[in-house]
Amino acid sequence: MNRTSCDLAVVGAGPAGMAAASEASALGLRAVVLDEKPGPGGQIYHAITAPRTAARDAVLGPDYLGGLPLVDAFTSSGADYRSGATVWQISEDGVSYAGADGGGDIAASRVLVATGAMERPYPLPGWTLPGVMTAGAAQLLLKGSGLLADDAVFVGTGPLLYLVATQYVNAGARIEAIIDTANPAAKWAALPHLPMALRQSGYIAKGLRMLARIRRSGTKVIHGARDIALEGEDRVAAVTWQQGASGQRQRLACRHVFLHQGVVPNPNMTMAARAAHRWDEAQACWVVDRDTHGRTSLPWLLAAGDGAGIGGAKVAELSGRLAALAAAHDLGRLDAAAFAARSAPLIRRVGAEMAPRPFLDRLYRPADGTLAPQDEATILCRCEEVRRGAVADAVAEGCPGPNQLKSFTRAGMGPCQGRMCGHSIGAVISELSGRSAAEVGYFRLRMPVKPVTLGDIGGMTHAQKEET
Amino acid sequence: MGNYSLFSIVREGLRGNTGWTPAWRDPDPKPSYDAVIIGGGGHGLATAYYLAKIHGMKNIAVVEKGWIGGGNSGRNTTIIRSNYLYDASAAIYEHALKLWEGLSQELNYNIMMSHRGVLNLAHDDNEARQLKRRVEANRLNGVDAEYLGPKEIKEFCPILNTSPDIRYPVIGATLQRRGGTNRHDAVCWGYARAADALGVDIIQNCEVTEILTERGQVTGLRTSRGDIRTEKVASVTAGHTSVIAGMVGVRLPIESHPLQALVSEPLKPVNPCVVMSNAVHVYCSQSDKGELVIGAGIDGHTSYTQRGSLDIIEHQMAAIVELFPIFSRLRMMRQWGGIVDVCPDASPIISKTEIGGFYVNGGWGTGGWKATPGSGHAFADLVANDAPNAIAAPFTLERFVTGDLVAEHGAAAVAH
Amino acid sequence: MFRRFDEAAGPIVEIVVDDRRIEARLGENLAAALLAAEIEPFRTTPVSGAARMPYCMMGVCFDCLAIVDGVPNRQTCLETVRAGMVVERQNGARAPGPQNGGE
Repeated sequence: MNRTSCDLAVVGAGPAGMAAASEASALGLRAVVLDEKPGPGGQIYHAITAPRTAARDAVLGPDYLGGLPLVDAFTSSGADYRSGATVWQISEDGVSYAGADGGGDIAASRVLVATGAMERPYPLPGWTLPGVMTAGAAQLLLKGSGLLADDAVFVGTGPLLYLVATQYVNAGARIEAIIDTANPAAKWAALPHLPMALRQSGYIAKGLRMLARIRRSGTKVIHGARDIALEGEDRVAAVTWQQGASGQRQRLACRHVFLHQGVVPNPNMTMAARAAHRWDEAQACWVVDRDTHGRTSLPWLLAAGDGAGIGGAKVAELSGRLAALAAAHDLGRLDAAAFAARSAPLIRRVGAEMAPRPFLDRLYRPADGTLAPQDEATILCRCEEVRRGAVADAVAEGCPGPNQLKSFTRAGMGPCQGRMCGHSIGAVISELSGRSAAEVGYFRLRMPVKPVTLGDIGGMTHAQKEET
Repeated sequence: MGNYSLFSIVREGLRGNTGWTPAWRDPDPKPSYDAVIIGGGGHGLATAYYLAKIHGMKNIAVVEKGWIGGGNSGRNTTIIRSNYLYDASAAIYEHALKLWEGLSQELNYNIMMSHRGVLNLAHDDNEARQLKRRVEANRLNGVDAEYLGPKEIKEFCPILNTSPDIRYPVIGATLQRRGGTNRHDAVCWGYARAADALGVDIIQNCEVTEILTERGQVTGLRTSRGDIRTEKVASVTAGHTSVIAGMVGVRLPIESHPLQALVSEPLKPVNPCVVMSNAVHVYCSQSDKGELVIGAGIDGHTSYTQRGSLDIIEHQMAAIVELFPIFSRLRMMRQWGGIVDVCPDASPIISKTEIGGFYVNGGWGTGGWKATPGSGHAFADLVANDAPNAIAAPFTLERFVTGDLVAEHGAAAVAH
Repeated sequence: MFRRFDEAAGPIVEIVVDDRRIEARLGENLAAALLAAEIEPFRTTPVSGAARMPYCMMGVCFDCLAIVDGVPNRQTCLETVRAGMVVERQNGARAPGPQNGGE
């Protein structure tokens, strides 16, 4: 069992965590970074330090390789980096983790949660079938192992859906179809935000180039699909949907389905720490309350990156630096003048990078019915296999929210600890009870943030565990 | 209330399950009641049920701040046993166990009672002597009890490490075969449904903000859903007993501590019984779903936060891994905390108070669940008759004046 | 089915999946290696026995669980391929760990 102490414990080695650790080290803080993955980079720069090929680099593009300087700066920053480390508890005393090195407790004056985003759970009939995964999962397989699946159907909406599809096209995969579920009216809702988005024109231009590339490839893009369902016995075999208002049910055979409905912060760690959170209506998700520097409602806890609010990789990096400055300042290691001087340009750049967000949030807002599926048989909680009908029954009996729902249905009590159902269950209860998502609330989360062995809690060493 | 029977199941099966009615009503508070019970957990609902059933008090209500069974009832590890040392304790817990044995039938609701047996382990000679003494005392009180040696323990619970060279060696254990576990939600729902059928109003999302008194006598309640007139208020609010009593200026000899429990990932059936260790202060059973449910000891400090720190239970988990080596790689999925009210003698309070019409049931420490039916039964008698019956008499507040304590802390050396 | 469009990861090593030997790349993601080898499904659920495969590939969905080197319920999407790794598919609830303690 490892025991050490530091000024700043950083959970997550994505852009926010890496930038924070580099900045903190440069400011003379002792930083420890704990990350579940075998290498740094997070999801966006997944496997960037692993062996790569020129062909894969070409497919993943300059945005992916753009992470290299950040990774290099991080690995040479002097921060104590522990890979394969699963943090299961954070508190004002520091962090506890399990890992290949035997795990341990790290005392820390400040804890920075930079655990990133996850794809918004997209429950639809058949989404638990083998062969169905998220678009982000398909991209991680491409980044890490150069894996491609031919004849896949992409279902959903959002920038990442089109990014992965573009990368698939560039890698020479044949895409069966892209079924875009965005509400056509979303374009008009987004339009007022376009001028602001154009201030950061790179994003929009990139998006338009992606769409053109997909069009040129001859990939079928289907708009106006409703009531999408996935069919299959022991594996997904087809996608079916209702096309337009005509009521005609369409069917497309396939072996792979990649789902995507945008990304949401992974809220488990900050919620388990009992930091204050709020419902973000624009992004339709729960986010931790924080100031411009990432300080939360708890004096010892900071949050940065997409896990604290969706902003993308650049904003994540900047927010990580800001959090490191705040930690240094609050621990008396950076005077007020220097703190203000160093913060100002970072805050300006965050503002510029966030300019396209309102436009993107509205353009790719999940259409009605995707957050809260309508079909009674659709599984909401994948772990405990709780269907919408069971949740509806509980609500009809007076179940007021997600926490009591656990007694009625066990939803949210499986190993994923509510990550895959929390948002959709909130949406279903909100819809059925006529109360806002904010009022319905979220699961009351507690440590351990990830399932952890008794041996790890008991602080047994690796050798002791092997003996028993 | 529809009766649950084979016939009703078949009938509803044929009708597509469209004829079931809600198990209890969702009434608004009436302006006045003959008695109001604060707290919709197991004990409170049982009290209401027995008040209506045995004492014919049907114009009564249970008011609950959140939802029924959502407090300590929903947080405990549902261990049922009655093998207490002292006569007074044995009487109330055995009374409860007898009621548990027939409760599914009585309530027409399956409370999933499982008499799988409870082992209390001894780790040193002193503990072994105490446990043997307790077995004798139990038998004199008509409570089933056996003393097992390491070999018999291994036979009864093969996954226990009974080797002599561990930090907490298992040198003996008591076994109560009638002990076991049940299902906390089912108990609360069963009592709620049966009480509702007798006319009891179960009012959820109703927080008591003030207890109204005149000249030392209760006159009513102020709640988040309006004022209620009543001359009898019965507090059954484990974890907040002192807070409610404080509303009428009654000070109780109670300390409130956080208590924690953990649940593992589901596992094929492996633990056939409930195992409790007093020296380590952990207890462990396996749920029908296959999850191991592990209860830990209380935090040393007093607190009203419904959480404890996992650091506190590190050594307890280390010990449990030694006792059950096959659990070392078992993943714990959830952990939670509750608040337990502990009296100086580790025995409960079922009592009148200096305020007329204000009754208290609390201070059950970490082990109140097992007493639920007995506690409700005795408390209902006290509320109805304004005097404790023979079972409740040893547990009144007077004992802290007379010194006639039921000192289970020191005597039984069990994890309460 | 997934195919490799390039060959970047480390040297090819053998791992064992349910007594079957498959090729994997040293240091690559275990779930990816199992997908490339067309292992299907990864497991069945303890609740209904339904077949499951990786869904998120980033450690949040817990659908890619398998027994890795004797340890049940490992998230294969967070594991790295090592030579000689032994993977068993996990059907239903896990069994308790090796029972070599005690008497």
